[in-house]
Amino acid sequence: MSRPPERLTRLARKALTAVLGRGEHFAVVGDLEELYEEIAGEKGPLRARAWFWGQVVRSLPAFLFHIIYWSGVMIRNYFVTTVRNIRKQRAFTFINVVGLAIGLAACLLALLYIRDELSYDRYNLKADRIHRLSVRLFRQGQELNISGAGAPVGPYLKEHFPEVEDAVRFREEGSIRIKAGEQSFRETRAVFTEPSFFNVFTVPLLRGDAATALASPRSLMLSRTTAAKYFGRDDPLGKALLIDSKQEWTVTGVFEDIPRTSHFHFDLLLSFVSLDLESDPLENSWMSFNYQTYILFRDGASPRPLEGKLDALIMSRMAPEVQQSMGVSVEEFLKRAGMRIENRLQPLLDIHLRAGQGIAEFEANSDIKYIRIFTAVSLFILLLAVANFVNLATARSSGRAREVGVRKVLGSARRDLVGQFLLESLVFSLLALFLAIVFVWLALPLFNQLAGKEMVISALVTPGVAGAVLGLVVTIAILAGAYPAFYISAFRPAPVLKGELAKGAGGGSLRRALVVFQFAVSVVLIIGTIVVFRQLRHIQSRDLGFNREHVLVLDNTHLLGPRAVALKEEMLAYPGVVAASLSGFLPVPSSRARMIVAAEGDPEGSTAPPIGVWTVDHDYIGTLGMGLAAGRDFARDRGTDAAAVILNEAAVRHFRFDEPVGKKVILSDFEPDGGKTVQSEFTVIGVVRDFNYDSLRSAIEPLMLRLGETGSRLVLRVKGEDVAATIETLRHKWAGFAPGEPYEYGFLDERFDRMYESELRTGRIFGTFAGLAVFVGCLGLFGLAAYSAARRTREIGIHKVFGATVPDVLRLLVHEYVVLVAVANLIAWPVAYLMMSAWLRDFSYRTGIGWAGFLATGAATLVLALLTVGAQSVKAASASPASTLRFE
Amino acid sequence: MEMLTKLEELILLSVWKLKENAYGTTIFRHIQSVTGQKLSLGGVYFPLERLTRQGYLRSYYGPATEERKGLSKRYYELTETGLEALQDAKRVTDVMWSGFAAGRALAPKEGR
Repeated sequence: MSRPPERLTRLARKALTAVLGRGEHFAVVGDLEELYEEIAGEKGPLRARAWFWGQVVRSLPAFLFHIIYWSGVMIRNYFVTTVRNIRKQRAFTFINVVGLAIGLAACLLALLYIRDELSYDRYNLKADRIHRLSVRLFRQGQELNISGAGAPVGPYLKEHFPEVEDAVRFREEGSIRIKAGEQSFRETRAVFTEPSFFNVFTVPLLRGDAATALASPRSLMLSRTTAAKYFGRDDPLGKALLIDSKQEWTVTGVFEDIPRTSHFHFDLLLSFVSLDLESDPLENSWMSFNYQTYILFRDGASPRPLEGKLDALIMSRMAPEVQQSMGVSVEEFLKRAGMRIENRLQPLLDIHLRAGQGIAEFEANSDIKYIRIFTAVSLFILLLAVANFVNLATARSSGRAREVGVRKVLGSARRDLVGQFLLESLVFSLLALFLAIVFVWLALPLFNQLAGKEMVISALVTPGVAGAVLGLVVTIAILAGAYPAFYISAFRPAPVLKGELAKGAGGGSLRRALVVFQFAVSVVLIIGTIVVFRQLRHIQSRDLGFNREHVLVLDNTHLLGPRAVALKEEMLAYPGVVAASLSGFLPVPSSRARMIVAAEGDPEGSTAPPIGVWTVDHDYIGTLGMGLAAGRDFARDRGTDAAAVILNEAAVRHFRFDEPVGKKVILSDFEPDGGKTVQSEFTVIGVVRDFNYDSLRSAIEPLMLRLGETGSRLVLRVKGEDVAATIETLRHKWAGFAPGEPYEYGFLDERFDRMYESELRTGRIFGTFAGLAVFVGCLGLFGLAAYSAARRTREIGIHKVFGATVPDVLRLLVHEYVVLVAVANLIAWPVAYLMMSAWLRDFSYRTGIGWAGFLATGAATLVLALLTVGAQSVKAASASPASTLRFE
Repeated sequence: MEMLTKLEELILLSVWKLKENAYGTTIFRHIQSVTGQKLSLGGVYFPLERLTRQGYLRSYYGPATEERKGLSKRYYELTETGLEALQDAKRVTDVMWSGFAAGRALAPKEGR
């Protein structure tokens, strides 16, 4: 009789034992082996093996039924035990579940946020085939991203490259005024574009014909909302609109509103042919980057070959233009300016998160950085909650050791106990998940405000997300349940039942490590929040070089033409107004033209980098409260000031002037009809102290102020009291001067604060989550303290019998946690320091990291921990020893 | 009276026939040799389990032997209930089968 091959038997044994388990079915294994050997003896091992596996397969349904039936019974038992445990220990269940629910809610919110961020521009059916042309300009170590291309680039690529299916160009129009019937509107989201827009992007057309709607000059299309705004229920098709009070345009179509998750939102599409590029050589140039151009590639075509050819192509096309206008070759021009240009293709789906804030971006993009911060922070909170769970469960292990001992004596196998603990953990996790969903539902409006979004909870109800969330919850349940499950189930019954282990409270070092971890994370988050807000305050309270308080800005004054000056005079006569100035330029970021300005006699002047040139009036510097570092302000009584300029200090450094006043600079400008360069000479009469006019992330750049009367805004310095009356007076006057035109005003400091929205947002998110983290941490600490106090009831009683006072006992109970929190702080500080230094490096004007914040955080966490632990301990310490000792 | 299935009947009978040597393998082999049918092991173990739970059989473990590498055999024997059930089954079967002659698979003719 041949022995069965050892391997098969062992495998079979293992499999059978695993399936049958419980020890009671080992006889079956023996039986099987016996039969197996018999068949192997009669018909050979091969047949035996076939028989064996045949048996396995045929028995499978019955086995499965058996397993499910019996585990069903077991699971019912687990549930009963779980419910009993929950009832018996309501407070701990509450702490466990609420802590975990907060962690899960944070994760769910992060998930919502990330999904939303990743969904940008995916509404386009051809999204993966669309690329945007972008230019990277390297100049003296600085990099500048421009999301535009020259006007001829798009059509050229479409014509000469077979892989390009279509191309569409945009040209931004800034703000326009639309007059529909008697009403006047200001529109800031208008753009010139071509009919191919509707082929490249998936924007449904509601009225009109995609092919012809934008084909003729002075035709425009409206978004659904805009059409309703202008015409109500009337059919907008064929209606006339007056743009900027002079041109009449015809509505040729209505398109569906562009989804929120798009990197652009247009309300009006103006026909591209209206730009009449053919008659404007300056605009229709390969050298400009004014046209956002999107390329639609054919299905399956790779954009890489085209991208590789772009640099050479654009250089060769730019060459004759440069030669003509500058008189040098393009290579020479770039070399002199120290510039390098790279042309890139940017995938549409990368724009929202990875394009950054380049020039000619339609709207402010988000940043992948925020997704990372967000994910990390919410994962940390989840980790904290899981740590709580493990902590409390191990702490309770001493309380449950006896239960485990009894179960073992009564015949529980270890796996039954593991199952029991894991199931308990799963029940807790599912409860927490349910609670978390309620939390998310409650917190979503607030969170939307915080994140600047309009997310809905139903976005989570997809099979993928639901699966991921359930998977996460089960994983957490296993992770959180694993330690107690395997640690406690390994207790040996005899010593436990004799009471030897009851006091041991195993897992102490793990518990301590987890407390340290929790507090370290909380401390990092708190310090992060403090530094973010410190930096914000630093920015907001910094001396900006001008006074931004009480400055009222009225827009659209260019509509009045020369009468704007009269309005200014009338407002000055009003007692609430201190000073007034007409200028389109405000010291807040906006897209402004730069011009080539050279110091007189500079041989490389014509290739100097362009600097900002602002047109202001005589009262500008005074009204905004800027200071002069040298020279004088513009003066009305000097006729020569038309040829005078004031530089800022950065410009003085830029031109390397030692004695700036009296120096001459040359401004190169293009003639209005294009082509020719005109140069005009200006004399420097003064130097204004540097003032911030761009984001404080960047340093102050050279700037030149010159006189001009084209003020598109009226800037008023008003008295602090009764600003409302001033605004009302201004409205009244405006209505008199420009009947029917929109009254738009704002305060300079508000416009200034808008620059820091993303920092404010980061700050608030950080703050909220840090608060949550601390709360979860304290929740866990509270539970732990309660347990340790309860466990040491007898010890405390004995201490008191021997004369310990309440403070003595408190010290005893609190001591351990104080040390843990102190250690957590010591670990967290360097981490927080490194993280926040990295964040601060982004700013040109940054605050110090502020050690006071660190110390304050340390003190605050200590106090919090003391309060949490203390509340429990006081109760334990003041209990009468007679009542606590009686039960022993 | 609860009716036994054919298989249960066969199993109970095998246990009775095999006396002290009634355990999984022998029962399985016995039924297979008498009926000449291929059985699945599960088809024997589960009825065995069920019959035991219903009280027709009781089982005990034999001593661990070297032959089975330390896995002892699970022996079965009939209980009183089991025996009664078999007797009931026999009576029913006998009544049902009476008058049937082997080899003549025709219904009895009238007037004979």
